[in-house]
Amino acid sequence: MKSIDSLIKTNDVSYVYLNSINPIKAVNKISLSIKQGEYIAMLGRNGSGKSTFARLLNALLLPSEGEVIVLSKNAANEDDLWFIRKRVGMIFQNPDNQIIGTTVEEDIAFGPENLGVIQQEIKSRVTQALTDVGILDLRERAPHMLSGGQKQKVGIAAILAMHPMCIIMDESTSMLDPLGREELLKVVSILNKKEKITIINITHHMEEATFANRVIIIDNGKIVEDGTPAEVFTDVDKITKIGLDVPQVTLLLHKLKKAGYLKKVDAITVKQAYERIVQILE
Amino acid sequence: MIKDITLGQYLPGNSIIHRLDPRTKLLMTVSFMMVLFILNSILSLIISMVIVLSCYHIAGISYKYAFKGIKPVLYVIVFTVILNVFFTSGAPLLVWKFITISKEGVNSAILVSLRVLTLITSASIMTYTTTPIMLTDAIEKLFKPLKKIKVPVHEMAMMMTIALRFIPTLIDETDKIMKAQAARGADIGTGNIIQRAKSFIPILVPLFISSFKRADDLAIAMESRCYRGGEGRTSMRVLKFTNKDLFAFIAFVLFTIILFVLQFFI
Ligand SMILES: Nc1ncnc2c1ncn2[C@@H]1O[C@H](COP(=O)(O)OP(=O)(O)OP(=O)(O)O)[C@@H](O)[C@H]1O
Ligand SMILES: [Mg+2]
Repeated sequence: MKSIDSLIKTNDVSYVYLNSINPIKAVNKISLSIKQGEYIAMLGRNGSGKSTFARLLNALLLPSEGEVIVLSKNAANEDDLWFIRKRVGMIFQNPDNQIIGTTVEEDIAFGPENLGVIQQEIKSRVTQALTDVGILDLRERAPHMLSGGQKQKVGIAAILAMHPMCIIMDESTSMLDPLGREELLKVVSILNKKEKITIINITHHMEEATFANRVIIIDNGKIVEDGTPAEVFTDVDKITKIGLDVPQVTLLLHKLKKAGYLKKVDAITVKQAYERIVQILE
Repeated sequence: MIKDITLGQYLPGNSIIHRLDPRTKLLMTVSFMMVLFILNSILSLIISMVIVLSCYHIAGISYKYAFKGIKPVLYVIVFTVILNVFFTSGAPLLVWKFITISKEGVNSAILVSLRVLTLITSASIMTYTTTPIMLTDAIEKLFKPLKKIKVPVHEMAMMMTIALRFIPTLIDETDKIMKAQAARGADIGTGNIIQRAKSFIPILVPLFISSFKRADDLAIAMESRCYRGGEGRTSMRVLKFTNKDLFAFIAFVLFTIILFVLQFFI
């Protein structure tokens, strides 16, 4: 694989929805660079522009202004559209509405089929993708016989079969139960670590952000925070002002800090918080 | 309740008939139906029936299923038999008061019922041994030449596939909506015919709206997975004619010849 420092790069990208009565500027001059292998959590209130921004990244929408560059190819260039969609895969919120095949296997084959991959290779890609996600036993199931979590795993496998470099999840865990969510995140984490696939997880669950190594907060179509989870979440007041929650452990430490027990808030996982609290007690 | 409706009638198996190329099965079924319409000797039709039933045997499908396919049209058959027996004029066979039964009447009643029975059982064996998706594939491949005259063959096949994929989902959803409306006190399916028809509106409207939302989502999901129509698209399932298909075709032609020979010479 080519080593390019940034996988996805946006330069002052904006997007305006023109179809409503008054045009809505959903994304407002975002510039950002995403490296290969990053695990990004993207947060923001309802209507802040996350989905719109995500769709700009895999050329489902084309920028009204500015540009999106994926692996040095411009999304505005029609010839490169398919290259970009192949490299940047996306799974959506409702697991039911993204399965096209009448069986799991056929659904996973759908992407490679569109890319014109030869039959033998499609088969091996399907097997590989199912194995990577750990659902080889579901190969011949019909979609309506799957649980929500299994459907989302099928969604991931379907993208993997296209050999992506980035997977965007647009609130893909929001319709899952805690167990299903945990399993999906585990699968995604492994892909990120082993295959160096960039993950962008758009979510409303702050706890999911702790899995990431970079947190981006979008508000009103602009990036308002961008940094490691520890950096972003320490500023509890600012995040609450945007209208978001912080992970519960961070909130706890924040309260401890206010009460004067701590100098700074720098823990996002339960384990880290535990260590801090033990320190205080000692 | 409503969930129990099964889609298609595929009965999984691994017989030679199951493994035949779906195109072979489709072509043979259609040609066999035409043959049945041409045949008009009772002997040939009985032999056709025997051939179809032996296909059930080879496919390992019990004759019970052959009967299952016939059941819905049983009344139609009985009705045509009665019509034929009593209202065909010809040499009287039995006369009782004002009712006359003619020899020709009995003959054509037997012909018609045999023909309908064989037609249905032969069409059923195809659907019992071929998955709907395989049939879709077969149709797409067989109609491919029509692309030249701008018939959207691929698009139609894709629509069929998506319909097959979403029918169970929509059935589930209908079930949910029915329960939700029932919980709000709607009584569905009672009263006279107009009331009953009306009571389905609160089910159909939400179903319609959600289907449009689904269609929208699905279109985006397909695009994000690089779908751009049939151009340059490959397929994981590749249909291939094998020796089995050749053998089936030869057997089919032989039997057809025999059936016609029987009809014209005996
Ligand atoms: N198809 C559309 N047509 C018109 N306006 C739209 C469309 N989709 C989104 N918008 C508007 O663009 C803005 C950003 O929407 P977007 O869906 O990107 O937000 P989001 O951050 O994904 O929100 P959520 O958390 O609810 O998914 C909103 O004001 C929304 O009303
Ligand atoms: Mg959204």
